[in-house]
Amino acid sequence: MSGPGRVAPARSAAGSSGGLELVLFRVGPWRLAVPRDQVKGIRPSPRVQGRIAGVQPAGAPIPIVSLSEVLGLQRDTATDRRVLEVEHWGQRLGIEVTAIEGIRTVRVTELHLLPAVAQRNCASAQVLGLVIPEARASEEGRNDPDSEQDELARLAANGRPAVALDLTALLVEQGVEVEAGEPTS
Amino acid sequence: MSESSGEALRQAFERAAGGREGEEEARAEDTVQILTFSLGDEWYGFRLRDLVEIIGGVEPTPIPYTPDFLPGLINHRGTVVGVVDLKRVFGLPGRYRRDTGRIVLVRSEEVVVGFLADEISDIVGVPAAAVEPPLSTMERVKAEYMEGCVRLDRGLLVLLDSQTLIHELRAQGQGG
Repeated sequence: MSGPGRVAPARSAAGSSGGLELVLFRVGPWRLAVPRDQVKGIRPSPRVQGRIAGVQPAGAPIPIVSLSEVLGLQRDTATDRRVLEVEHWGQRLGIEVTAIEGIRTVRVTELHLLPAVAQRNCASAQVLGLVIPEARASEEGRNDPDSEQDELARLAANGRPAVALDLTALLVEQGVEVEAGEPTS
Repeated sequence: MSESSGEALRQAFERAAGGREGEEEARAEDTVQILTFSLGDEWYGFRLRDLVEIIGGVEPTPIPYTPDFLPGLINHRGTVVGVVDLKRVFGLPGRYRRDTGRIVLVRSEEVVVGFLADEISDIVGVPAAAVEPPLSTMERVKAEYMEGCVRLDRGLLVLLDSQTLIHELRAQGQGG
């Protein structure tokens, strides 16, 4: 992953290998994934900046909403949170999550639609399905034991599924509103 | 023994074997094999013919915006399977414990659904006639999803109708 505050530009929604680049993260007990091209940056949550409330991290101040609240969970009490920056109604908006797990290009075979029993009982059309990582060798990071790719390969080996969201559409669907401010260019 | 009597003897054996097979088939039709499991203090069961597999040590992956009775999904051999908490469906107290609980995978036609169980008990075979209609005192939601009840030594067992249960759970969302 690139330095704090920014994510290296996604090559495209579909990666060079024909897969889909996803940002994997956690919100409370949930493991989630969103398309990388929806995430414009990643920064620490301002509420943990030196324990001084209200101090903004580097970069322009942006409104921040808690994804745990958008998802209907109780307020996330983790102390080491992160903020995903997204575009929402033409403005930059911060989405607070518990932790970032990494960026991964997943194959089509790793994407699974929700089964009917879940799909028909899910109150959001923006919950797209499940990403089930297939155990595979880390081709990109094989020569670097400390690389992020190796870490992601270890995560993949666990086979823990992540729920894929269309985050920007979800914010619209759930009626998330932010105060008017300077539109981002 | 002559060749013709040998043939007759062979045919006699075949008839005898056929007769026994027919008797076994008849007995099988008269017997209901049930996988029994507990939910709290109550006993439930699915017909063994609908059972796919029993798995343990798995925590369903929760899905946002789904009702309480759907605690999540599991990855079962590369296939995503929805998991249902019958305690929530039936309004029973208690929560699933991953260390002691099990997920019972049941098939209805081509659909497989997992059901949380506190503990798997055993497989019992009971005469089909022993499956009684739901008691009039049973809650409506439970009666809707059951094929009948069976009186066992340990208590009353609710035999669930997996086809109706899975069909209704799949259809619930459609009604809003």
